[in-house]
Amino acid sequence: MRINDFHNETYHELSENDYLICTIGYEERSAYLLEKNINTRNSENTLVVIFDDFEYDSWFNNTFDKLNELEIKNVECAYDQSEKYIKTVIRCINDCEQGVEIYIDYSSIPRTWYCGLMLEINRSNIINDIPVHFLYTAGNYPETYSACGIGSLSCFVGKMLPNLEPNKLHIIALGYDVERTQSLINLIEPNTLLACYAYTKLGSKEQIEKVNKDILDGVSAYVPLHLNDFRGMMDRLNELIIEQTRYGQVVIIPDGPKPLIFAMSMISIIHANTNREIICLHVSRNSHMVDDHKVRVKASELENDIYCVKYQRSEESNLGQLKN
Amino acid sequence: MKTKRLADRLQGKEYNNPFNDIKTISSTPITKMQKEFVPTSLFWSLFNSQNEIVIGSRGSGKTILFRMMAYSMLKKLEYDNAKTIVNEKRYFPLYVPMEQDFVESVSNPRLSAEEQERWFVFASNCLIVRSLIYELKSILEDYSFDERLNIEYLLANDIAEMWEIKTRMRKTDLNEIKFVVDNIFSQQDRSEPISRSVPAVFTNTICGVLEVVVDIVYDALKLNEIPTWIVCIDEAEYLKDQHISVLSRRMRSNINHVVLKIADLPFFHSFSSLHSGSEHAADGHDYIKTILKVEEKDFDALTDSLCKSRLQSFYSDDEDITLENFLGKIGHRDDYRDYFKEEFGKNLTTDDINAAIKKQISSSRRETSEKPGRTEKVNNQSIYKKLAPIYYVREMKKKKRGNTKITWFAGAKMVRRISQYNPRLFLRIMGELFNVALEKELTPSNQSEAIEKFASKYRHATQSLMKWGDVIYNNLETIGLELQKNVHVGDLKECGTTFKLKESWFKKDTGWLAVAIAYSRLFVENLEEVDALSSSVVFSLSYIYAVEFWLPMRKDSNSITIPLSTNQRSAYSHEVLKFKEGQEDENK
Repeated sequence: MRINDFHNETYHELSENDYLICTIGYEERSAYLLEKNINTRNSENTLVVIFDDFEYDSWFNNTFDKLNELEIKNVECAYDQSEKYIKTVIRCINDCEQGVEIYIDYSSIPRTWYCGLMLEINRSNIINDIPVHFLYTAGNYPETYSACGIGSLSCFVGKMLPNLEPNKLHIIALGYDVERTQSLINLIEPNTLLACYAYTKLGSKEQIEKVNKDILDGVSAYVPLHLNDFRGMMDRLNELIIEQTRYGQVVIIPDGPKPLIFAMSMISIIHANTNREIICLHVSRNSHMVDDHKVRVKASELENDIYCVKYQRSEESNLGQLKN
Repeated sequence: MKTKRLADRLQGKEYNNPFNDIKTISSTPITKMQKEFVPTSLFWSLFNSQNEIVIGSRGSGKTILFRMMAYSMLKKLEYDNAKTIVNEKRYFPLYVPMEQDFVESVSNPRLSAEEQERWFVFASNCLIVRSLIYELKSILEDYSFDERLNIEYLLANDIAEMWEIKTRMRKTDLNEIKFVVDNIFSQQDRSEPISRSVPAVFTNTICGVLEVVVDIVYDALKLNEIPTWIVCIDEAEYLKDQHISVLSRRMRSNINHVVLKIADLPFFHSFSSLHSGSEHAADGHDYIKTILKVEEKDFDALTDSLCKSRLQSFYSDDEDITLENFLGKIGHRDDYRDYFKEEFGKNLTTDDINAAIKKQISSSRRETSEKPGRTEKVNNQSIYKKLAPIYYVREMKKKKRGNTKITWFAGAKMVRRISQYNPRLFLRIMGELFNVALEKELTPSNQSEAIEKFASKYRHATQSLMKWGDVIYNNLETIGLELQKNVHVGDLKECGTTFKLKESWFKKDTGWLAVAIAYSRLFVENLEEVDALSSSVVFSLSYIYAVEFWLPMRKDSNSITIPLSTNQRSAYSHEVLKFKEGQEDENK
């Protein structure tokens, strides 16, 4: 996997030739892209993954009827069944005919699914160079909502031996859940901390900085990244990692909006394949939350709030794979 | 009587807060660590040939104890005990940190249990190698140049041979050994079992790499006796059950000249449970448990040392920088009685206070105190002395309305008390006070206000503790309110921060208790005598929480028993502002 395998894209309506894999259940937003493209969907070009704990709600009734009418395939999957999801998607990719492109809606799925999928694609010898597009719909959140806390950290990719002299840099991502970020900082107890965050417009940049002021005051540096520019996020993160691993170890902890989590995780995969001392840790949700923390997130419904990135193995990646 | 406050000289300055540099000890620069370290009797007692579990909450000082035991650190200390240990060379501790990211990176749940254990053994041995090489190089620094070259060559050659890595070495020195072992580690794919090409000494048993070179080091350094290698495993709280199993079996096997010291959080792991046929270490036989306890005088010395080292750059070299001098003192003792008088009138006499106490106690107790033949001396011992601290807190709380400033949570004694022997907490409180000192005079009332704000943030941050934050927060609210009621409602009586939990609490998952204790929200009285948490255990709410709930910071011999609250909804759920991705703000 290389940075050149990822390309920024503008969202467009899907055609019948485009294979859509979406996952329904976690929130209303999860059905948005499916509903938006329902006119071009059929039993051959769509796979719907449904969370096993999804209680069919009124917002899904019409779509559900339509899916039945179109005889669209569906697969049930539990939150912690990332392997099942990954195997299912990889089978789809491998079974695809020439000329078909895969579209994966990752707006409402856990990071173990979409990041795990890419880890598996990187690890296994999928020579098939079908383009895989990742689609993310921004959410329209309620005015205030309960935060989800932190369960635990697990290693996504990478490994390293602790150094006896402190020279480790943690790179964390900021969002609007300051408590969660603070909790994460308390948990990881960083030596040196660098923060990054993704924004879309200038207004949101200032908002994020304002909300995270206390955290930003305590970091060594912070890096704003443009959410619309996936490739730009990867390039910037790449520069940071190359620079920092010259002096010591780097621990990356993705968080915030999913495209940022995705970019941070992908750059980690790329560097874990080198000799650099880098680890990427994923945060899991807190399963012990007392309140009902299910947030009813709807899709933003603005055209430019759908973020797209295309993954297609470049020639260099294929050559690298063959050499290995 | 007031003493000039050093803090007041900081007012109006734009200094970086030296107490904000609250990295964990493991990430603190080595020279700073050495400067701030104050060895206690517990520290010296760790130099022994026993497997040992050292138990303490986060920030209590376990890491610095383990780090400072290493030869490389010890030789720089100017203490007689340190010089003796260094000269005798009977003990060679190795610092082996089980950092969270390291442990997670070598734990892959997709592998079989056996392979996961093998991975842990392999990774730990690679880490032990790093520490061993580091320490050997430090030991060799004390030899002459020629001796050093010779010994290093011998060591490197023999160790490489013993570890079956000689063919991978380009040159024969200790750095090359580290390089080769690091390479062996980096070449392993964490998603796969350890390759069979890795020499068996790295994968068979934990500390195996060390055991096979004990004699080599003894010979090469020409020591008087074979030293004991103390493998100090820090941050064991991040280890999984299968890792603990490995360590436990290792302690059971009791190999000569290599012992384990393991730093763990209270009630996080059991090292001695029998597990599916394989026998584990026995507490008291294969290892001893040591509770990290700091004596008051040691904590006083430590806090003064931290103040001096962190504040020295702001004052002249001949300034006597202590916590007391930084915060200032009032009265003769600078304790809660002086601060009470500062608030309620310096002319208050002991008789005035005793009379006020008498009015608040129960009528039966008052009657007893007035019985004929009952002396004031007896009343003093049995009533006034015991109840005075509680009386003060009740009166202070009455005086504190809304945002009125009071003088109570102030002074060196109070700051130390609230820190509860936790150096990291002490540094955080000092960080807050330093910030205030830059803005305004650090009067007792300003100190008190700062500490109250800190306590409020601390309480709020409880929600964010990993996994159990919300549960801990809710439960501590229940407990705090019950204790508060016990103090402030009704007659004045003995009470404090201690309590028991009703049996109903233990019918639910009690994982939250261990985390609350680990993060110093709760304490267990007589921890050394408690094997498991139950309704018979006496707990204590932390003194930071005592600030929030206005509780007297003392134990109560008749701890109240708190029933389980049925209301589990968070009274203080933190909320996240709407994340308006790509949307115009409707209000603009």
